[in-house]
Amino acid sequence: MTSSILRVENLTKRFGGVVAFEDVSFKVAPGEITSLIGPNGAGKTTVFNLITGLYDKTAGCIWFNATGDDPTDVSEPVFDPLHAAMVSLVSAGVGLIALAHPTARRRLYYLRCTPDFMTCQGIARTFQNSRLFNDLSVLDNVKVGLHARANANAVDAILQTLRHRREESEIEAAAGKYLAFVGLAGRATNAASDLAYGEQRRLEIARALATQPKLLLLDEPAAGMNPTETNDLIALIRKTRDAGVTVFLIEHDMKLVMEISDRVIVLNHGRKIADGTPEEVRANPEVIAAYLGEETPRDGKDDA
Amino acid sequence: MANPLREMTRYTQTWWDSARGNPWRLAQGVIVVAVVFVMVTAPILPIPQQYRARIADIFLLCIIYSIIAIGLNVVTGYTGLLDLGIVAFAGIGAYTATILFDRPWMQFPGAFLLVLLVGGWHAAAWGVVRGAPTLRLSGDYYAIVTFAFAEIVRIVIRNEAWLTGGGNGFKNFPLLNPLGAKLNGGAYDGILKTAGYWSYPSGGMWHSGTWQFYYLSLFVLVVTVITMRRLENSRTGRAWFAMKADETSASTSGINLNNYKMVSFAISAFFAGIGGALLGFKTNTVSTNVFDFWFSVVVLCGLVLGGMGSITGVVTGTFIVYGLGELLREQIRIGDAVLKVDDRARFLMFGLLLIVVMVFRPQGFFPRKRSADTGDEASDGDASLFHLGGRTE
Repeated sequence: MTSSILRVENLTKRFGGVVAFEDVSFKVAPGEITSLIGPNGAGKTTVFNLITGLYDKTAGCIWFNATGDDPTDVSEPVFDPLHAAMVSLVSAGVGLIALAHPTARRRLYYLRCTPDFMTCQGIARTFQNSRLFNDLSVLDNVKVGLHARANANAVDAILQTLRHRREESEIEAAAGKYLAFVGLAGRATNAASDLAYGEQRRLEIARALATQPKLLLLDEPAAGMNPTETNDLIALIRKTRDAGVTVFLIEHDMKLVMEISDRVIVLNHGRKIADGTPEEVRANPEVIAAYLGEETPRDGKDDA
Repeated sequence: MANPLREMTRYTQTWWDSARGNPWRLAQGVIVVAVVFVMVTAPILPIPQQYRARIADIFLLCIIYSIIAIGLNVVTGYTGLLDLGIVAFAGIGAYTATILFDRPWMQFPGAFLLVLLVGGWHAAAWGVVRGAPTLRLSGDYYAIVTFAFAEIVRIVIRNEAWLTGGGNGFKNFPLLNPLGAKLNGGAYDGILKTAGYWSYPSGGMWHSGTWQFYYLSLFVLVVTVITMRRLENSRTGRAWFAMKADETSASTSGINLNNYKMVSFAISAFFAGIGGALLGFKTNTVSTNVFDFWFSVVVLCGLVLGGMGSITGVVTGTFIVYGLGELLREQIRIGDAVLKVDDRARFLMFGLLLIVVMVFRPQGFFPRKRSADTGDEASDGDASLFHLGGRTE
């Protein structure tokens, strides 16, 4: 088995009775660009939300391998002693009864991996409709992305400790470099909401990159872009990959997908129907059927 | 705000650059300088004593309420959660400081500063207690919980008369010397017997009408403002602003929402507690009639008026609301006629003012600026945090 940075095994997500997807398994190889495609409602964004910890899984595993030799199941809730102590304390001991019941125990005493934990582990993402901090300046948006890589707390800030001052100057300098990386160096002082649409998408990528991810998830990065902007985006994604970040993206723009992907995964109705190189996927009859509909044999009478 | 002096120089420079050829900007600066001048010199102005005392009294009230409003601003302006219960923390701070300061052994120099801090810490602890179960709430639901908590605190204080003096509260505080030790509290023999019925002889050195108390309050306000300015430009402040703008993308940017909400609750309650303690000593009264629901509403009113999330705005709004509230108490005599606004009608003025401001300037007088004001300074810092350079260069 080749090494993979992300390995999803039999992942299932149900919202009540509605099955978003069932038994989906795939791998993302490090240093590659992998695309996740499929018709609307296939469950692509839900997969992303599970990987980044925004949703709870119903079943399955998500193995994330940041360092290359130590995969951990980031979807599994972990027992947190401090949290458990707080629950016992707040419930005045009544919560201890829940220890006897497996489901209740899991609900009360285990903490699942929250999005901020996933980010610290090395998974960053952008959103389908860009979700920037509109009130903040462009530079501050990127600085927020660097949050996970700094340690100064409120007391450091109030006392202006050495750690705070050192980190602030490092953050300031690094944020500028991330902006330059995505080509927004000149817009640092603008409010994020004043940027053009394409620039906003790139700022979101800069913010995600500033969290210093091993794996970058892009949710429809080219949606609503004109061909020039799309070409710029393709170059940016390649540049990101070349800088050592594995890219995993959802996209509807087939030109972009086929051009940059090393591997394509196709979801349809919550099921994986194909997984391979762009050429393989393009030739897969099931994929063609999902996108274009099935070919029905024509009847002679209709023809006449 | 690493350096307050440099910051002030920069402010003055920016103002002067924009004030040339702009009479409104110029007037703004002149008003600010005049108000700040009177604020700093109020207790020592060379004018008749009765006017000086009144002016200093109004400014002192505004200063103390500004401290509380800045505390409220942390939760409401930075983190973006509507808080209708700031009075709970002001009340906890005031009662804690008063009860503690009344202990016979509170006789050492600096005792007054110590009880202020303990009042703040006690309020902060309750901020955390209130915050823990409300971490998942937002909007109206959060506001209802804060309101309910404030009412719980008020009712508990009203009923636990053995500790808090019940409905009477505390009046006629002991006098202090400039080091913060009581001059005449030694004879007092315990809170259980006489809560609510203290009586101290007047004529001490430092009661709330003196310049010492005034400058102590002003000092606390300055410290509060500097603290907030430092927090605004820090990792913590950015986390708060990010959470206010979008919680989902804040958390996918690596911000632990729960931790940063808790920090903001604690800091907010801390400053509200200190402000409340000062207010108790200033008015010489700590009772549930002062620390009631309308307290929260009027402080919030100042916040909305001035512009949430901006220190300048919050202080301006609070000065307008409380300054106006006090000025409207004044009687104006023209010949035989006496012009006076009815006490109950004063609150109508707030309503009117708020409506006018919301129509013409919905974001408040001085809203938080959206673009960075430090971006033009080229940073010469070490960019070792940038991680994409390795392979491309």
